[in-house]
Amino acid sequence: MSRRFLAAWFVVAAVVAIVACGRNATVPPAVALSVVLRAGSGAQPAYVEVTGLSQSELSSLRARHDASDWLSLLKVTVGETATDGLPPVQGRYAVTESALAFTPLFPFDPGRAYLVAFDPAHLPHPRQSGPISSVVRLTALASSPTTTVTAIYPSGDVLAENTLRLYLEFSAPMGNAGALDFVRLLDERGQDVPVPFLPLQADFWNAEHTRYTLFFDPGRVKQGILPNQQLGRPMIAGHQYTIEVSADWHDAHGQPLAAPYRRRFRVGPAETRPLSMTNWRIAPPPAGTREPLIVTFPAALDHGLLSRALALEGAGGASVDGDVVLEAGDTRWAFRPRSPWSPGEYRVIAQAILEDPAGNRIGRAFEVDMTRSAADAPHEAFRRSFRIVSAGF
Amino acid sequence: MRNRLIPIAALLALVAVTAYGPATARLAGAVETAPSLSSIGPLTFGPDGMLYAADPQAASIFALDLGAQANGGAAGTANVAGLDQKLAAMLGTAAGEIQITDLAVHPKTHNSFVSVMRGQGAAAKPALFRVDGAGKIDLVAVESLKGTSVTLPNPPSGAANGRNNRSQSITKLAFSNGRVWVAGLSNEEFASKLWSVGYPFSKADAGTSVEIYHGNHQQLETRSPVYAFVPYSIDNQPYIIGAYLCTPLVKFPVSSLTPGAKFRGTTIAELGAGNRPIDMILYQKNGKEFLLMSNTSRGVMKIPTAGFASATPITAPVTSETGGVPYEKVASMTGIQQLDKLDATHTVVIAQVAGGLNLSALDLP
Repeated sequence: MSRRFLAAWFVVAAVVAIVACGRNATVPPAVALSVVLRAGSGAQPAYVEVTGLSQSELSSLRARHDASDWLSLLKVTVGETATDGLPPVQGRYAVTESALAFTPLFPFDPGRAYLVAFDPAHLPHPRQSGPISSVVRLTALASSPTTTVTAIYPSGDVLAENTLRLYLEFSAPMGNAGALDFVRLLDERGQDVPVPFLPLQADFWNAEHTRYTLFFDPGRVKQGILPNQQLGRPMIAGHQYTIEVSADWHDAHGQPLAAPYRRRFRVGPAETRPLSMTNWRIAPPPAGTREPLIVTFPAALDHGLLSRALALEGAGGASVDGDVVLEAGDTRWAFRPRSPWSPGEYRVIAQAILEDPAGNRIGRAFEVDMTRSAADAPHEAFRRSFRIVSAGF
Repeated sequence: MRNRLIPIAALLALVAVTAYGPATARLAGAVETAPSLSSIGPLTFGPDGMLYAADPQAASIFALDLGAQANGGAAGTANVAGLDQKLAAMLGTAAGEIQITDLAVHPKTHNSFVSVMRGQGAAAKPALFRVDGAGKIDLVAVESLKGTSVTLPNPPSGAANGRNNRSQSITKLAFSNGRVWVAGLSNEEFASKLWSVGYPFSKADAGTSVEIYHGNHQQLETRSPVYAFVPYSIDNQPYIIGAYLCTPLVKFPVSSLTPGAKFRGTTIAELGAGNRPIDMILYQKNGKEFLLMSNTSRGVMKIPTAGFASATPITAPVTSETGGVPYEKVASMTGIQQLDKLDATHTVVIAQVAGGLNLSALDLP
């Protein structure tokens, strides 16, 4: 049974019934009042109902227009007991054919206690009985730690000393927290490398919250500025390091990771050269097949950008549909077309945003010597041609 | 870029702010009105009271006419202790389940508006609150507002089916001279970009994007995101004063920001490593102008602006902890997570204290 399905179920934590005493001849007949939590269904989230109101009481409530009157009659607050100064849950009041209903603007949290207070003295025709209160809660999600770190990119054994960012991939959606409290960079002695990452709790999640981008502190990576001069780069070529991800990092269901994650790697020299498409090896498949085109790079490119910044176009500039697989530690781009290759000229198109893990782009390194470099005009994209020929030619 | 009119929700006129209302229709089958914003981040006001709100998830900026919801019961902003717990309670959850994403003060009512994300991960939902001069907190019914939106240009996704995990986080908004200025960060490209688009949003104005390079101190030119900024004027010329991560303060004249081109800003101060700027405001005190800047790890800085026009550009390595335009640390302001100007003599802040977050109006230092 899925978590979402479970979440749709409800429990009535308490049902409190009272019987109005009926001593006043002008009030409706005595009826038991109950507070219940109703299950959500489709787009309708779970809501609270007060039942036992007479038709005449419901009619008079329908005519009510003042928001403050509703609050004095029926109030829902977070927690099992009333807390001074804590405002009520915001929601909408509705009078149905048989009950007064309160629907929160944001769905009730599974497992969280809500105190529902109903005061019959604030009915249009007050009942003499005292206020009733009830604690309700939706069933807590049955959940255990299952989410894991599935990969960290760059995935190769050797990372450049000036690597700019890491991508941490997870098996399931994570919560809001960023990486800074949960990821450590350890040196060969198992000691923490001090402040290696960008001190920024920004939302660097992808839309699904399954991938987090962890930036090294660019102030330490880039040459010639104060953090770099004071602390040096966080990683030094020739040494080994370990990235450690704590299991205390919570997923979207509030569960910790199923296990901590560790990955050891070596660090090589800084990569400071601009990328060049002429260094790429293009292996064209034969025409008439759907064999993949393989583009091999001299070194790994950025995993995130490589997934979306390369494309193919055929004759006349028409884009070629196909499926992309990144291979060999992001040093290979394999493109399998939806339709068989036709003989003729094709072009690999690289968007100007394509980078290696150290931020170097085609024709432009991450750090440019201003004394030598002329101002370069921004490029949209770069292209390199290749030919598909029929098998046997 | 696209523009769209936010649908005016068919809500009862009485359901103005609190969303309490006597819905008399049958509940069964009733559908909650979906918020028009998929997320809510930085806020800023125009001088006329138009609220500009970033929707980072949709990479969009909304211009919201608050109408009657601009006004609380009392002008100004009163202190609210335990703000995070109170906002969370109104949203039916606990303080740990919300993120306060920005604070902005209405230029006329001086009520404070606080943007919040409720919930975890991709399922989190946006909410907007107003705090008035009596400390009363109201939830703003954003879906009932009238407004327009504009979507920021998204770098192209080249491959036909390449997996696109890119997301855009918007770090700061400002309104100046009829344009909305936007600074942002992507989870993939580590680039320094400022967008600006004219308001009213129109199809004719696609907005402009400027890449600003940071000329640092060994004749190396690099990309680095501008995180916080404030529109500023030097000799009646519009400038942007921007703070990069880790933490150079840079000025650039708006007239030099040519769309599509790159531009190198002038570094006028180095404000320290291991830090990011959070918020900046300009204010006058005793006939002098100051920039008040809150930071993640270097506290709040009070920076006289008198030297901005003539500041010597920093072109050589700074060997001391900080350099360039001098500043004074405001020791009395600690744990500041959000900051805006309340009025001519006060700032309003959201600060971390033991047990939660407090909203407080403070004298400008």
